[in-house]
Amino acid sequence: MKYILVFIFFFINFVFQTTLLQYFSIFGVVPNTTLILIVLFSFFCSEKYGYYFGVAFGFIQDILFGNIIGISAVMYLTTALIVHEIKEYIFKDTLLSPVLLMILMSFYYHMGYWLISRLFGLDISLINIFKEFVLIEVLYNTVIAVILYKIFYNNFYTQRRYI
Amino acid sequence: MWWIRRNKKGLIIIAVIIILVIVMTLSYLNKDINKIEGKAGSVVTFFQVPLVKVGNALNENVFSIFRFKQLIQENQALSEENAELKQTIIDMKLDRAETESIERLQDAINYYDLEGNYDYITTKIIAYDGSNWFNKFTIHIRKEDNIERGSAVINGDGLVGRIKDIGDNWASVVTVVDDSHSVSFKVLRNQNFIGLVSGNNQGKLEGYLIDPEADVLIGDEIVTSGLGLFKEGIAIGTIEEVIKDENHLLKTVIVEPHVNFKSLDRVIVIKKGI
Repeated sequence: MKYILVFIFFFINFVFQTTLLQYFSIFGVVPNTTLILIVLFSFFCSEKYGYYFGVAFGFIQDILFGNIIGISAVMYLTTALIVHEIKEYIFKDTLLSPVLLMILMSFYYHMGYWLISRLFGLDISLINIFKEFVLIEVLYNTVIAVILYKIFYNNFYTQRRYI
Repeated sequence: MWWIRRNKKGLIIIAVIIILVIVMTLSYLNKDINKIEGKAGSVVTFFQVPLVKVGNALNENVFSIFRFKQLIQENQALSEENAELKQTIIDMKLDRAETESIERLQDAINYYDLEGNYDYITTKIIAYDGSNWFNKFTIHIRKEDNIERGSAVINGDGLVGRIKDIGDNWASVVTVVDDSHSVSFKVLRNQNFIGLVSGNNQGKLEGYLIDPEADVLIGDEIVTSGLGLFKEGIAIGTIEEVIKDENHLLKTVIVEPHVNFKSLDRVIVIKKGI
């Protein structure tokens, strides 16, 4: 039951991200809300949501838009893994933690994506993608993560309502 | 055995990552998508279509109120352009009369004309790449349209891209600036100058002219030449930079595409006729 709820949550997010979110783009850059959800769910709830839905929605994202199928799936899976490994050392009560976590994981996602793309022979310059969207997206992701952090914190942490 | 039992979770994750790496390699080697992927895309598409309608309605009805000044300016520019175009149509109609007489001669010698046998299908974009990495998107299609892979996708400004994969009711489009496939072009000013361009992953097109002595200038319009997948005469962009490379005996050009890939909502698919 918990899994179905979280699945619906991720599904609505994915549909929203690929359609309506385009109207909220800043300099043509949209936040990666799937990544934000994976980080927050892994941080406050169970990292298993990150594993399952990261792989599932990473796959759908790659089928619909990607050049090589599986890159996003791997990056989302390892993101959940890293968040799970470091969450013991991060204080959950301060607003600094989602900021740090989101900046770190957004950079990790893009660097990893770039590295795998390079391995498969896509000629993309790192400086160029940083200039074009990575820096703006990291900021945008962080802002949204901070907003969502409050909701996650109140519902899943202080009230101990584990889903 | 105890080691495996203790690290069961880690092993599963490593196994999944290895499977994903295999999937990546397979998809790199084989560009076709299979049935399961097509179905997965269809399920998502089913939910995206109504939301896109909501988004378009919002954009057209609500957000446009805040842009009325810009709309007035646009309106003025368009009416001026309209006046110019009307004059062009008159000129073209005169030309047309001349061509028709030549076409009648074509019939006389049984010349089969491939031009004009194209179907145009107007469609809406249903989803955009949410990860900012590419300017890719998916469009809504019907099964009876029989769209093929590789068909050209255009909009009012010019060439947008080509159809990459086809699902049940969706098709993914790879834009020219992301595409590694080359597009054959010719310079509009002097149509003997032909060459090839492909996306350079930096939002521009990069390519070379077949004749290194061709005198192309910055600002020259380029259009598709009709030698490749696409039909002749689709606007691509303007030449922004010409680099003469003495070592390679080639003239490299950098082209700024006409299409603004960040603000697309309707596109036209050009389907090859019979």
